[in-house]
Amino acid sequence: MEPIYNWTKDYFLCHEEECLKKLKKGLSLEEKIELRSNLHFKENNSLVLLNHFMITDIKEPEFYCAKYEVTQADGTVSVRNGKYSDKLNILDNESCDDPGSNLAERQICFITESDTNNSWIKDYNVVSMNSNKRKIDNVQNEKTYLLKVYDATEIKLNEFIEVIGFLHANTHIQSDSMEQDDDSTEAHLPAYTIHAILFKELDHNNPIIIHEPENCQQHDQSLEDIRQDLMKLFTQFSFGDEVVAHYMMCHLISCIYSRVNEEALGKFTLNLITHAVPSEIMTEYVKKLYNLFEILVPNSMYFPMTIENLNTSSFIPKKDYVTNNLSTGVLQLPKSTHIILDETKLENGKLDQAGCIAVQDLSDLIRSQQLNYDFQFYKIPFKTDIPVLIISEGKSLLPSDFAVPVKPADADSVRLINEHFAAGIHYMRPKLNAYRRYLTKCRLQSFDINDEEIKMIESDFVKMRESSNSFQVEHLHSLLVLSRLLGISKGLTILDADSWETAKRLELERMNRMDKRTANEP
Amino acid sequence: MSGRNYAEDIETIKNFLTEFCTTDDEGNKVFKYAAQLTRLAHREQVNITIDLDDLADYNESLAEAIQQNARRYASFFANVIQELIPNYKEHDVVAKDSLDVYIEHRLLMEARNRNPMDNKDPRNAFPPELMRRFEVSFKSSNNDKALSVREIKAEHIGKLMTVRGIVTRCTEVKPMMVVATYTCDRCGAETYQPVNSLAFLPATDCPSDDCRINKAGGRLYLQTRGSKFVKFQEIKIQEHSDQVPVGHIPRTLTIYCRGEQSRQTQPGDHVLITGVFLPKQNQGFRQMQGGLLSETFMEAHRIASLNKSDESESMSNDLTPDQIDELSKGDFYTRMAASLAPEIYGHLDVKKALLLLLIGGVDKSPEGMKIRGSINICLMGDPGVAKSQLLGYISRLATRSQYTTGRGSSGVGLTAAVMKDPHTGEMTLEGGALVLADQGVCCIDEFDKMADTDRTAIHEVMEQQTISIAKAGIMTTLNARVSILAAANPAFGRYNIKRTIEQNIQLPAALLSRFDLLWLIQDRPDRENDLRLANHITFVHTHGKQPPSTVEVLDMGLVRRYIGLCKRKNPTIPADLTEYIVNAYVELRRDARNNRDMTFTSARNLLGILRLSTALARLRLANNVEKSDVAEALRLLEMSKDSLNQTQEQRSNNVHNTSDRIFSIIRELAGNQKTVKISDVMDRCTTKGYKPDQVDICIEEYEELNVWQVNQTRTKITFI
Repeated sequence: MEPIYNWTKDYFLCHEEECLKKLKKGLSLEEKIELRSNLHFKENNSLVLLNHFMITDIKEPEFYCAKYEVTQADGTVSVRNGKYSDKLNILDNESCDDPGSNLAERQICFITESDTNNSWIKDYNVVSMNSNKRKIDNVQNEKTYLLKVYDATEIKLNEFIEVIGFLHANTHIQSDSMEQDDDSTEAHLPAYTIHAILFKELDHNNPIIIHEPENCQQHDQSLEDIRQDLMKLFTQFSFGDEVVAHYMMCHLISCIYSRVNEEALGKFTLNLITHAVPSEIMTEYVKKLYNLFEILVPNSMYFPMTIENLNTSSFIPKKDYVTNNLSTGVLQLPKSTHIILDETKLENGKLDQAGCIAVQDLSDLIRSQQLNYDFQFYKIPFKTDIPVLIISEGKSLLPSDFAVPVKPADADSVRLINEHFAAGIHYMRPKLNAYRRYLTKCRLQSFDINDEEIKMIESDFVKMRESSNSFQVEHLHSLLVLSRLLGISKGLTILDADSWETAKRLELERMNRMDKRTANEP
Repeated sequence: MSGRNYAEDIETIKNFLTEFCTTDDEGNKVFKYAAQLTRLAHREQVNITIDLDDLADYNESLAEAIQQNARRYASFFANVIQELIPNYKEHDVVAKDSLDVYIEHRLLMEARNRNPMDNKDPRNAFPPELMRRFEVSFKSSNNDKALSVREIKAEHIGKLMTVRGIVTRCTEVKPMMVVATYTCDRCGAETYQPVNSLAFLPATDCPSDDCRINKAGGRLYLQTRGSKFVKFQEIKIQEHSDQVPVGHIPRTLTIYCRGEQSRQTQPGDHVLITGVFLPKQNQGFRQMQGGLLSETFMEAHRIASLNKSDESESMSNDLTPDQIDELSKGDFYTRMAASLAPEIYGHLDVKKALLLLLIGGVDKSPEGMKIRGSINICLMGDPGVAKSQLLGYISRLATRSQYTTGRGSSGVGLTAAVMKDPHTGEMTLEGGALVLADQGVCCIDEFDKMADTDRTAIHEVMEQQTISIAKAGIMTTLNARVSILAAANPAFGRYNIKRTIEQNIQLPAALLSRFDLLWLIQDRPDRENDLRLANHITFVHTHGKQPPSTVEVLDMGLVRRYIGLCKRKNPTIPADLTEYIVNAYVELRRDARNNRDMTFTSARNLLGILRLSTALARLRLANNVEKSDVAEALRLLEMSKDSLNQTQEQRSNNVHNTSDRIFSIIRELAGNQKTVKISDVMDRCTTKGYKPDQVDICIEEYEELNVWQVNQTRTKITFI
């Protein structure tokens, strides 16, 4: 069998069964590297691999001739396969009688390398690619491709995908087409098309887990060590506040695990209230914190909430009927992209209508993890799973699930925060991949509660209701989410009493801090 | 399909057109198509629509065949009609346009020059399209299900089908050439070129015998006036939002509209289009190689706009029979109400009121006066009674909604100001929400904490349904047709029943009286209830779905849809109910004067009753308000007043005293009279919030006590 990077369309069609078997079995890292580097050469009809791409727009499916008969000049008839190409392969001296007789459908979408992909993802692939013998010129890589998918897999917007397919340069821009009024749609096509032979949706975008599914090297560090490391680091980064560190950890591994009656369970919007920290430190601090996110999670985005940004950015994707494309918005993000909303940047000012809508969209996102994409004639809700971290001086004007006032341990932890960051990051460097793996693994972990613990929770709830009027149903939701994540962070798959007690303690402390704040208000 | 005998089919078509008839009410035969043929012949009608249901009655297999191969049969029909038309001509027709004149001349010329022996070059012969001044279209069977764009697949190519969608783009209506006519500059012969696609290659060399044999090299010139054009418009339709699966982008379809089908719709219209799904025909071999067969379109045969008024066509599409079945089971008013926030137990009347708020009453504007239809409700109660949860649920359920809290961010105006609190560093947002909630529900939590400036605006919104903004010296008024659902906490931590509402909630009476219903939710921390609540929530978290409950809960999407359906109805209040309503209202006023009523009874209540009654009629999808609707509206009003007026002690005695209280009502009703009609008793008691069976029990109890006697037919009570 040919090595995979040499596969051609004809070879693949001839040995389809064999090839598919090979693809199904999965490729080795080396093979993937070869295919990925093929993408840089942009040779027509070469087989390429694309990962860390997301689906940004879905087009109308098109019909193509699956099989067609060609009559050659000498009268011999041959059957050709129309799969994986945009054109019929008919020479000048040949003719094709009835190309419309054997039509099949293929799905079409746009895929893009998301701006939120953090640089370590790319570096991870480049590092592994450098081991490759072939020299790679510094080719400017295309960001958007047109993808044609041949099987009936459901294509969903904003999903991470891994694709292997044949690359084609699009030479569609021929001006002899008579329909000039339609040219707008043509002009927006990307430069290359990928005809997929393998199309897979991924539930995460972490290359470490994609390429090294089994943990091979980090056996020396146990899960508990990693957790304790991270907790120590987060405590340092939170001005010595351990409570905040817990919430930070849970925030980083949170995901939506189910939706009931359009309520997203598991969402973990964290609002750090930094009133206690001098504002001159905060400017630098938010930047540092975002840098930490950038090196820990695969996808992240920083959004400074200034009046201008709110008034001028377009947040929600909108269908443009002139180009027939979906115009993207700030909030068209793949799942588990961490957003940091920096509200410390907000000043007095006037929000215009766009700004009001932007605040509303952000609130909707936080409240229901759902965005209503604008199709002009109606809106269509798209589900999201985007953890939001809001950093604000007082309580944010946006809603949040967990608002925690930061309480610095002592004056030094505030004064030396930059040094702490520098030292912490230095310490993390060699173990980063283990941390990254840990965080993503936790996010994907499923979790259960046994009947016994359910009884405990129920009776606790009744007690809490008796003791305090203000204990609301929302608090029970929060406690369940928090204790779940605390359990998962410890590597558990079933809730234990300890995690539940920790969650109760944390929430109590958090509410006390909040009450104190409101009490201090004039 | 291959076995069809086309010659036979053509014969069938001919017979169908001439013979098909229906019988009208008076028993006369109506020749539906023959009559149309006459009109076509006289150029009084352009389009003839063949209803496939008619054809199926006549010849089922033919109708089937048309469905499968519509384009070919459309040309058969056209040919047959063209052949038949001269027989239906009853008088001479005045030429309508230049093409008519042309046709007439051509026919005359042909008749004069025609030598039957001549073998005419087919290209010099008149193509049938040129002489035709009518259009044939099919209407597919009524049983045919309308597809979504997504459901159209390769196997539908060439078939007649119906698709539903919303128009997103329309091109200008342009003339499209159907037959190009040329004249030769040498021999003068006319040449015709039928055009089937959007583009064509103009002919240049004269094909006539004269030119060809003499090698004269005659050049052809296009005759615009002699050519035939049809109106042509390209439109794009897109799937309805409810046809799009989760996580997908709506699909679009290109529709070609020719002739009479053009200029039927505008962007934004909901349409039902019957047509033939076809691949785009590319001219020439090169283009086929390049462009492939990927592009498809639908050739429209019939376009129906589904306007809001046209309920019959759209309603059936909205709910499937299964869903209607699901809805019609049991007492569905109660079931719908119970399906709101199912995790909160009890409070059925509150939920019923919230359901009516979602549906809304009917807007009225008699003689310039605007009476709002939207219902405003204020929920009051101690902290921790799930008010916020109800609000949250309603804002999730409503199609358009805003959720704000009175504290900090709140809702006025188009622009919003961001303000920083100098003490706490808290950023607050002023404004925005109400305008955004136009035609929806605005849920305001912590209503009592609202700033004075916002209150004034809310005032205006609740009564006028507008917001006035003074900006840069210009006063503007914006629409804010919202229902307000507010939640308020008592000022002193707990609701004090001895005080008035204003004192408890610390809101001005003028504002409170603008709520149609004020509700005090009292729910003491109750062990059993809390346990049930905890049980529910842990179940949701561990199983990812609602726990099965004794009351079958309707799906949120279904409730939302049904509410959408209700909103289309505009029921009216029949005149004969007026007296009943007025009496009930007078009664309310008198009660309010006599008892120490903590609530407000004013003319606003009367409007509130009307709003609630119309909402109830909408819920039944009825066009008229019935007495039962008014009675239910009165009952809800009474219950809401009760929740405020009764002290806890009274409440616990409530059950035992029901009969006593009904008795006193009856006593009062009777006045000096000795006899009372039971129907009157029922009316009076139901308006006071008692159920008929409670009244029956009372009547029986006092009959046993020999206080009164009831006559044989049980229609009258006579006091002893």
